[in-house]
Amino acid sequence: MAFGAETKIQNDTLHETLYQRVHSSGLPVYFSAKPGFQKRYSCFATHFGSIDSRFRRGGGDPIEVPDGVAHFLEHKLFEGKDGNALEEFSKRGASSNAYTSFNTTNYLFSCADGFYEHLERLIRFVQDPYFTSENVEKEKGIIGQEIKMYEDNAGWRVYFNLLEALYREHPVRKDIAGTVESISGISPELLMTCYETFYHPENMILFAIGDEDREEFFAKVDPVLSERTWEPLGDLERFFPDEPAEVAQRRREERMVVSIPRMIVGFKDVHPGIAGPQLLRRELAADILLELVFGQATEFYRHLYENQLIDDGFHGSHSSLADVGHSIIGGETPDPDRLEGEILREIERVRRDGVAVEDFDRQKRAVMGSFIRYFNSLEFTANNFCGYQFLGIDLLDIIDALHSLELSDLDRLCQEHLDPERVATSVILPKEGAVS
Amino acid sequence: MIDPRARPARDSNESGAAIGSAAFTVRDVAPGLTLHLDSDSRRKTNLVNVYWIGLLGDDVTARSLLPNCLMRGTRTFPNLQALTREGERLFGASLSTDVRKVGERHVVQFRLEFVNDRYLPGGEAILDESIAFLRGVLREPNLIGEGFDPEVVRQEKETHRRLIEGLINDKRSFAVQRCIEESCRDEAFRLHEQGRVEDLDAIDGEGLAALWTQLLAGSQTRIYFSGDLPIEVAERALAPLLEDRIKGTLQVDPLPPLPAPRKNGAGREVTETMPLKQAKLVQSYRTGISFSDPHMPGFVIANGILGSFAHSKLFVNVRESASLSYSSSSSLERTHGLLLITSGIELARAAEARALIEKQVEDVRTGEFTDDELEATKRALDARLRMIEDAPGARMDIDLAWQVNGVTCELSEYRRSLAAVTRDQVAEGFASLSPDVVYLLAPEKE
Repeated sequence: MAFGAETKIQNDTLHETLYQRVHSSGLPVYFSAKPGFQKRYSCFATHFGSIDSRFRRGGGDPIEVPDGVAHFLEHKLFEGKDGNALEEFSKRGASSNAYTSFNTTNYLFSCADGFYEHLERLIRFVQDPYFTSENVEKEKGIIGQEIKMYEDNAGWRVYFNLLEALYREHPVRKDIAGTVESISGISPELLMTCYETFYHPENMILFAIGDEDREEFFAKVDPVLSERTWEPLGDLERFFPDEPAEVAQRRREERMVVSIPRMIVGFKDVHPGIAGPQLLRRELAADILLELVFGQATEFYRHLYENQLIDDGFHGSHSSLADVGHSIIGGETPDPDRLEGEILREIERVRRDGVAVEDFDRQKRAVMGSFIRYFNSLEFTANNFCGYQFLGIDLLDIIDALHSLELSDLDRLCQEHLDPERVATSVILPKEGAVS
Repeated sequence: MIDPRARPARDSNESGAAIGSAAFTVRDVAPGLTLHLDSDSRRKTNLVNVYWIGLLGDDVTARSLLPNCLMRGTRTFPNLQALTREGERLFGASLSTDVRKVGERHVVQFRLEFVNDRYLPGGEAILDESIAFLRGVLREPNLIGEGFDPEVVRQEKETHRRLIEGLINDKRSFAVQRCIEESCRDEAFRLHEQGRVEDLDAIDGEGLAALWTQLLAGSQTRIYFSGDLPIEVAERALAPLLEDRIKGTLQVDPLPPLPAPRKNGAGREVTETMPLKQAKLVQSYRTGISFSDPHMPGFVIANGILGSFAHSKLFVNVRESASLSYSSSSSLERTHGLLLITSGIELARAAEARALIEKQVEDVRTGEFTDDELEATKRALDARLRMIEDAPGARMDIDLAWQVNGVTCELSEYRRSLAAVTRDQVAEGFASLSPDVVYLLAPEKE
């Protein structure tokens, strides 16, 4: 048997059922049947993202790698001895892509026909690295262009400027792609070191979803996964610097070609030791709290909107990693200083008065319905399931987590997290000289 | 959730123009008003799209502003806050609006997605309330006297001004719009779907209310539904959206025929500068053929070979082989007959990039492509059309584009027409291609 016993994961509210078996290589493999759908989707994800820049495998000295290496590796894996995998998928009627986030690199494809042919291709190209000095040098040109493209993107700039202001040490403060300078030192050997560490099956997840037969799926994927043999991964340790609770910098400003300023405030949440279901509850509580304080249904939003301080792009959102997290509130505004003041005063008010129970109950209904809606999407289901697994979270637990939340959880989080001592502000201001 | 700012491996090449149609059950309710219904048991939500179709012209700004004012409140839910709360109460029913161009038609869209009653806990039922929610926004605005609340209109005009001025913030789409303006200087198609800042001053609450009455009762209206309900049940549920129209109080606006696509491009170059890091190059071509022209299937395949996919010439030869660009792709506006090639490039190599891109176009036109490229493109287009069958919103948008062009077509028939395209027909498709404008948005010298 190349697969261990099967685990069934189910949620009745979402009407979703997943099946998991662990392959003898150590790889957890998930399958979800979607009868009647034309589209088949699969992703192959590794727990390796932009923040994993210092690590150790099986004792020895920790290794430190340049910023942007996970993203660089993502680009490079598409290129094999016999050509580019993106192109091969496309030629055979599938559409492939990949993305790198703070803690995940995810390779994916969608197709209508020939699912197993494409699935084999996905597994093989991810498991067959091909790095040469020449193709690594060439990629530096392409990624350099990509970095420049993002430098012109105000939404991206305002976000990473804020992260630099919020965090002193943690690598979440670095742009996912690194810089032209940091990637200049990347070599084939370095890529191979990262590859052998993080692309081990025990550190990855394969997820498939679509109108296919479950037994056939596991039977067909087994020999492909067995083509390569793997030594056990052993100990893989990631090292993150101690991040102080205080922010690095209160305020950041940059000038760009934009029609109107853009302002976001961020609250830093350092929570070492909180993981798994606890982290899921904390993230959900934070999202609901932000909606209850800043959402379109609030009196505060109405006040800002009617005073033309915001447009409908204004919102709050929370994101979590293993030890750290942050909530971000803001958008485009003609008056960043005034908006910042309004936001901070509103937080002060909510910390004093708390949130209303009827708003909380209504918001729970909205979140439940939204998740039922999101799970229509094969991509949403697969990508988020994998991303959360790397945080020790089972995404299908989201409904139970929602039911378990109480108003007191939100009030407590509001006191702990929306702390005026742990806030930073990032502003993009218009640069003189528009199009001429 | 997954960080939306995660970096993708490549720019999406998947935003090609609408390319298919699937079968909806059609009901002609009244002159100019049709229902398009689809029963789909695979999804947990119901989707309703209402499209008001009109002429792209001088009232484009008011037409774009109107849905924003309608979303500010109804007689039952008199402000944005109350309206939002009702959406939340309906288990996060998602109501949004959009405007778009289909050639020289301007389409105002209202989109409502809500959970199917079968999937709600505790036997709750929200179907009728959700339709009533949409009905309120479409038909029962919170008017003061004969017009929209002047304060609401003032606020929405200001927001709209910022939206239009903000087009410059997305450099790629800004460059595309500038290229279209240069290409179509004397055509209505030059107008952005959101309209013009200079029109805003003259718009007031009474004028908008008059426009609302006219669009509600007099525009070509198509209402689409998809969800896990029998067609008859869906039709009954949607009835509150139709009432006045059936009484026929107003004449439906007749729309003049769409203009025939132009054949000859201007062959002009336009360069503008901005303090940027990366240059954007947009090349426009006149296709010279109309939506239902027999050469269109060949043209669609030719565009696919050129730049719609990861195996296309632009991606393989411009981005991958020459490292000249992070993104380079082509898209087709079939109704107006424009082909646009958009690339993000390094300024120092702009001439080289342009020459290489033009060579790719020429190669398709002269048949310099392999049988593999042809077959791969057919396969990829066919797969895209099949996967669209799962996505009701995309199917509705595509069907709408067909309807606007007066074409009735089954998806299977369209897929067959693409599969049958020969090498010669690909070359013939591009034979009428005429270079129009080369637009370069260049970084200023430091």
